[in-house]
Amino acid sequence: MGEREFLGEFEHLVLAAAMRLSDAYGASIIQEIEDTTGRTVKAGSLYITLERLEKKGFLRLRMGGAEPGRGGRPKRFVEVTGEGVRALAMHRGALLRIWDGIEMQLEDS
Amino acid sequence: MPFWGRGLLGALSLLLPKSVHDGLAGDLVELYSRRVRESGRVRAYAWLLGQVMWACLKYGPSALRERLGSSRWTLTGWGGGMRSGVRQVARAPGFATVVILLVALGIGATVTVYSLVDGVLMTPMPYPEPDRLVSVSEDNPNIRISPGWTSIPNYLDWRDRAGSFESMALFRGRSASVGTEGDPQYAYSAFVTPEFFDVFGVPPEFGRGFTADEAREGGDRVVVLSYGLWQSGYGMDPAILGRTISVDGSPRTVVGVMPKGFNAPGEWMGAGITMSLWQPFAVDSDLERGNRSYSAVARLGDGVTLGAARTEIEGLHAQLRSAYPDANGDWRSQILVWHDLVLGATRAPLYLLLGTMLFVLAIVCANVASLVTTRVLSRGREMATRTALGAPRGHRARGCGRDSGCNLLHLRSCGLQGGRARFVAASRIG
Repeated sequence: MGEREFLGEFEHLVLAAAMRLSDAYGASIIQEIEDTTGRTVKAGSLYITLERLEKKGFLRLRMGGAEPGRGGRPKRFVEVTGEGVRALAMHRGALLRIWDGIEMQLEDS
Repeated sequence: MPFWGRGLLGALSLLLPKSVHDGLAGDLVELYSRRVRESGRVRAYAWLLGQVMWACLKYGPSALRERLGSSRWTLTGWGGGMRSGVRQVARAPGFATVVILLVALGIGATVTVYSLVDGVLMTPMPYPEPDRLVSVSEDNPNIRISPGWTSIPNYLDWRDRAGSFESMALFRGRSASVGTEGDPQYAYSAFVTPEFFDVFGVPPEFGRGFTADEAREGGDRVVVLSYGLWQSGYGMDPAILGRTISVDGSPRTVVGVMPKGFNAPGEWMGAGITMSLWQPFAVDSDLERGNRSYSAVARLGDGVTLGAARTEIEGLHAQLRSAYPDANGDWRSQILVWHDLVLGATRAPLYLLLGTMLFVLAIVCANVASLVTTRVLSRGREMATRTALGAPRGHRARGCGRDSGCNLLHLRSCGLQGGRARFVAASRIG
């Protein structure tokens, strides 16, 4: 896997949140990231990121049917591909390796 | 969702591809409804505005490039036109600043006042079927008295004899000193009869309300806490029920905790008042019929109109006037919808303020129109040069429109930002 396929921080959060959810779409991913990390997510940024990840082949986007609780608008479902799972695993591995040996220092500070 | 929210989401469709717009707008509608429930309408408005503006910033540039196409970025095309417009604005920065600030002020002030009017006057009270919630009180044409007051004996007669109401309660607000886990707190409290929570249609989050025995002189000393006091004063102690706390130096047993957001009758007691606890009202504590220091609130029976309830209560009150001429002689009964009583004197000034702001906006628009007209007239030489070079009439007219367009783009963002800042400030004050 080439160097270009490393994930950005937000891409990593989006992919991981989509994997945690059984019903992953825009609003549920935003809610999941906000609830678990406490950071505020802008829907515009999320959609730009989803399209970028789709172009990289890490996820697939699929339109659902119209829904009344959303002003009659459909959900855009997100499905993480095998490529996406592999990219996430590689990202996690890189993070664990770079953190190895310095976690104690964080706890002491 | 407010009308301007729907408008903003609709406007997004101009920038976003359909597949993105449908999904994103649906997500914003869904998350907006959740935010209204969790953090209130004002914060949800601010959140929605931020989200839409962010989406415009993210998608705007690429969408504009796609729509206009690179071949149209010429002197006569829209791209070149906008560049020329920006140059004209830069050439007369004083004029542009005056126009932008004038209209920004007008739009900002109007948006702020409209948000207040929408939040205060148009938002329903947070109780089930709030239209059935009424204040039953007395009015005396010979005395200037604010509405909402009555005496205990008159309340008892109405409660026992009137058939128009599902339930009727009496209350009296007062301040109290509460001994919490930290320092004693100054708190707003209300003495309420056992029917109080039923009238508002909100049961305690857990525990119970008051019993008839507790609402008597010498009854058990119990108290119901607000969610806020339970949270801030007792660290959300799960074993709060049955715990003894000190209220005004006397021990009281906690029997219930009200749900988050329940604040009756604080909204009537004054702006910004947050209720902390409720204590049982001993209805046998003051049998003086002329002492109108208490307030009655009732829930209209299913299908009973306000007019029918007024007729019945006034009939009963006529009997009370004959029976007790000394205490009730000049007094008439008065029934007001709770929301109207709470708004009371606030309604007229708010509408007046909104009207004034719209008037100010109209004056601003007239001023800006005359400024722009003067500016167009002062460009006679430039127009002559353009005509000599063969610019068609349409291009010349569009040139003038583009300058105003550039100013408009600036002032719209200034106005919305100004409005948003004041809107957030107002919500914090409120």
